[in-house]
Formats: sequence, structure tokens, C-alpha cells
Amino acid sequence: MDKYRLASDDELVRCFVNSDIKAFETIVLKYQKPIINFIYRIIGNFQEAEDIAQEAFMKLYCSAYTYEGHSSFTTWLFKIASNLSCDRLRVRSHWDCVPIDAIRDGLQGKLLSPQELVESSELTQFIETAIGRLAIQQRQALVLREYCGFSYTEIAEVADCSVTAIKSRIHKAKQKLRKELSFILD
Amino acid sequence: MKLSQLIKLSKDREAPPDFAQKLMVRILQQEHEITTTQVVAGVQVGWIMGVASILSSPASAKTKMAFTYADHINSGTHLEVVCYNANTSEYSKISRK
Repeated sequence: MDKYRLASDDELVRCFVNSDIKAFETIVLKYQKPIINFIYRIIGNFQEAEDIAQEAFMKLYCSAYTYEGHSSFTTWLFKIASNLSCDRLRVRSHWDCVPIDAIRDGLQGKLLSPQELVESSELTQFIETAIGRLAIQQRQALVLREYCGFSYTEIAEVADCSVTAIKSRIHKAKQKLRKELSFILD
Repeated sequence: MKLSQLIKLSKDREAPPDFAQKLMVRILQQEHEITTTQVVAGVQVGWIMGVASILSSPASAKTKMAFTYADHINSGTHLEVVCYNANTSEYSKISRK
């Protein structure tokens, strides 16, 4: 198994295209968590995120031979996941979340100390909901930047647009988040 | 607290432990064009789940369990069942003797 653990993504894809199923499993085990979490932050439902992630890996299984290595494998895989998530959102057209005002009121009504506030699950829920209220393109760019650690260039590849557009989307996303989260920010 | 610190409070969740196994079952279904119940037979005898007691049982016992399960849930008689071995990542088609 070490052979697989030490292999680069491109090497794993090459092995898999040559019918090595263990190479494919290694890719799945490596990326399942980041892909599911990325999709979850885009669509807001963990169960559905798992389902879409399965579809994404199925697509990978069926089309890995088309990967030519022009962009990084990670970017390519996240692009598949992103497209599937956007398709799903088009169908149901809203992020699955509770009203943000209700969570904010609940948090402020508890009179928690700053430390207690940071550790509360309601705050995490509030942040996730605030991200879920962003426009889809802004949310996608912000999540890839802040949670997945992508560079602006990589995000532009996933989103099929310019680096300038990505910077603008992230800037606007942060502006909106600052407004939503102003009651706790410095 | 800064915005980037606040965003990071939302931690990644773990992937479900059977995520890869479910995926392999779906792929198996697609590749072999077999029914869910036939695949599930492989799951239930423990080859996918990797249940030690079943993995250590002799091959003939595994075969018997696969067919017993497939026949039961399909209310019929199967001549072949495809199973996935989680330890070797291999698919195997087993035939009723």
C-alpha cells in the first residue's frame, strides 16, 4: 500500500487508467473528506453532500482517462464536484438553512463571554448559515480559498473565470460576512 | 476576533466510514450491470464490511452465506453472486455448486 500512499495524484490517475482499482481507492480515501466538506459548504446539507460526492467520484471513475494534466488533478476533481453542486442548487434554488436572525437572536440572548461564544455550536451554525446566504459564486470562491486553501489561480480554474473576478468575488463575500458577523468581530 | 479566524471556527466533518465502500458497490453495479440485492449479498456476508469472523471463515461458508442472503432478499434462486473483497479490493463472481 506504501506504493500508493507515496504516489502523486497524477501517478495514481495513470495507474487507475491502466485498470489499477487500488489507485482509484487511494484517490477516494485521500479526497473524500475535503470533497464532502466542500460540497456541504456549498449546498448546506451533509447527507446530500455525501450523495453528490459519490456522483463526483463516479464521474471521476468514468472519465479519468480524459484527464490530460493541463490543470492540477485537485483542481479538476473540485471542478467536477463544484459543477454537480451548482446543478443541485439550481434544482432546489436555496441553501438548506434555518433563518439567520433566529440564530443571532439566540446567541445574543445568551449573554455568553467571548470565550464561551467562540466555543458554542450556535456560533459555528451562524457562520455556516452566513456563508450559505452568500451568492453561489461568492460562496464557491470563499470556500475554496478559506477552507480548501486554493490559490486565486486554482479557484479561477475551478470557476472558469479570471483571477480578477475571483478576487472581486472573495472581497464582496468577506464584506457581506463582516456585516453579518459584526456583532462579534473586532 | 478577525474574520478569517471566525470562519475557521467551522471545522471539517469526517467522511462517513463506509463512504468508499458504498462507492465501490455503485461502481460494481455499473460495471457488472447487476442488481443491488446481488451486490448487497456481498456486503452482508462481510466481504465489504470486513467483519473479521466472516473473513476468517472458510470460502465455502462465505459462498453459502452469500447465496442464502441473495436468495432470501430476492425471493428467488441465484446461480451467481458478485462480491467485493475489501481486503484485496477485488471483485469475484461466485457460482452456486
